[in-house]
Formats: sequence, structure tokens, C-alpha cells
Amino acid sequence: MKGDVSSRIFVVIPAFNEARAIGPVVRSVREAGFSHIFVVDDGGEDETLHEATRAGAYCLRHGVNRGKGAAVETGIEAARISGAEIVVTMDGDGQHSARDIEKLLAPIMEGKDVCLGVRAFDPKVMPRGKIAANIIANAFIYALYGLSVRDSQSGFRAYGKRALGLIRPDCDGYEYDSRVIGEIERHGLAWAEVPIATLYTAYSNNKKQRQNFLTGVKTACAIAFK
Amino acid sequence: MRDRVQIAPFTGAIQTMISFYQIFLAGVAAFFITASLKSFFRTRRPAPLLSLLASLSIFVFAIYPDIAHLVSETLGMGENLNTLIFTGFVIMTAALIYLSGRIDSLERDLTRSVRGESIREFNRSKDK
Repeated sequence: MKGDVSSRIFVVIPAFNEARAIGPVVRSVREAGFSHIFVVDDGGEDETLHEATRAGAYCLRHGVNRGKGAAVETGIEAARISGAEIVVTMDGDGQHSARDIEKLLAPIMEGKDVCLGVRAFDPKVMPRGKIAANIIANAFIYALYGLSVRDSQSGFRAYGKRALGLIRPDCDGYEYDSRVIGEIERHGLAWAEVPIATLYTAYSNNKKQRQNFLTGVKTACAIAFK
Repeated sequence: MRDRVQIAPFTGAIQTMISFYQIFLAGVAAFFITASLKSFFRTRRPAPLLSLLASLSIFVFAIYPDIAHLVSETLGMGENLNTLIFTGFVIMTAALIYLSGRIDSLERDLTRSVRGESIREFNRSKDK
């Protein structure tokens, strides 16, 4: 990636009690060639902030837990203030590979406003329950917004300048990723999808704050009724 | 109604048969009565008393459902008690919708405040 372009690319990583994973995630993003990394600690109680700072990220902290969506928006706001023209969002638990950032950026460089990462819905890689949940979520999003996306729940995305100025999901929780789809449709943004790797580790599968059936129902209600 | 078990009522004046549904409802109401009393004695605030009143009403109506007709006749409303209950239900639903909207608004304000504070702190640390 050319130097002048990469100085305008910011990577935003929301994190909640991810002290174990955030250091390696930040270091992998730096090794991939991106130095503007914002980690937003969403009111966690562990050493996430300390580990992220140690790994070389700029850190922001929510005084109280507000949700993943709120943390992403805070990071994007900080990136905008700092002069970002392209923002990549990714998860802080190590499920996304920093090597895929270039793949996400390619459509943005070609003029797309948003690029969505698409995970492989392969039972060898992704738990079957998660595959089913994602298929249902995609159908739900299509019914709501009329956009047929292959992975409506992936948080690994890239946003161009126009999208950064227009997209305002105005929500705090896990429904953020779905609401972004609605914003894409609402503003008629140009979007693309690229396949990304998903790394399901023992840590990400067993962490206390992972999504489950109840949070899925809560997210669906938040999307439909709020 | 054959599955109803006849019990000896407290007063003996009203013959009633209680179904499993009534026992369940009375049990739930009893739980909330206990919780309201505990909350009141712990906090000494009047709010749990409202919950206590509601739970007591549910308990009484669960054990003696005929009391609804008795109250209705005494008040001179006849079958209009159903209308009153339905109106009450509509009012409660409207109140719930209003409260839900207020809670959403407060949550948004809280997030804006938290975000503002974290960005101010970030800018301060950049300037150092």
C-alpha cells in the first residue's frame, strides 16, 4: 500500500475484556503495515487498555460498558477527528486476520463506499449453530432492508470517506453490524463483499462475553423494534 | 372443570374450586409479595408498596376469581368491569411504550456522554 494512502487508513478495534487477545491482534495489524490503530475499551475490567497501548495502539476508553456498536462509533469518530479517510473495523478477539485488511481495502480504492467481509460458512471452520444463526440473520436483514448480503453479522469491514460521512446507525449493541446494512441501503452507497478468513480459537469460542442465542434474540428485537 | 379440587375456603361463605392455573398465579403473586416486602423493609421507600398492592390484588383474584363479579356488582358496573380492566390494560401498554421510548432516549444520551468523555480524554493524551 502506498505511503500517502496508508497514512489515511485507520483501523478501529472495539474490545471488551480482551486483554488476552488484543496485544497479538494489534501487533498483527501493525505487521500488516497499518500503524493508525484505535482500540476502544468498552468499559472492560481487565488490562485491555494496557495491553493495547503496549502493542502500539492508540486507546480510548468508555467509562461504562455501552456495547460493541457504541465502541465502533467512538473509534470511527476518533478516526474522523484524526483525519481518517478510510476506516477498517475488526474484532478484538483474534477472529479476524490482519492479512485480510488489504482485501477489504481493494474495493474501496476502486471507488466503493463500503466493503463487507464475508466469512466462510463452512462446518469445518464455523460451528453449525453459528452458521444457522447467520443464515437466519441474513434472511432477516434481507426482509428488513432489501439488501442480499452474504454475511450481515461480520464486523470486519472497510468504509470509504463518503460512507464515513453518511452512515449513522445510532445504536449501541450487536445490532450495529446489521444497522450498517440498512444505512448502506438508505444512502444508496456502493458496496462490495470479499471473502475473509475466520479464526475460531478456543479463546474466542469460550470467552464469557461471546454472543449466544439470547443475545441473538435481543439483537433481532433491537433491529426490528428500535 | 372436573380437574378442579374443592377446598375449604377461609370464610366458608364462598364455595370455590381452584384450578392448577389459579394455584400457579397465586404462587407467582406470593413470590412478588415477598419480594416487595423485602424491598420495602430494606429501602423504606414507598415504591415497593405499589408493587405489593398489585401483587396482593392478583393473589386475591387468583384465589377468589368470583370476587371480581362481587366488586363489579357492588360498584354498580355489572359486566362493565371487563371494560374497565381492558381500559386499564390499554393504559398500561401505552405507559410501557412511553417508558421504553424514554429509556432508549436516556441510553442514547448516556452513550453520547461516554463517547464525548472518552474522545476528550484521548485528545488530552495526544496533546501531552
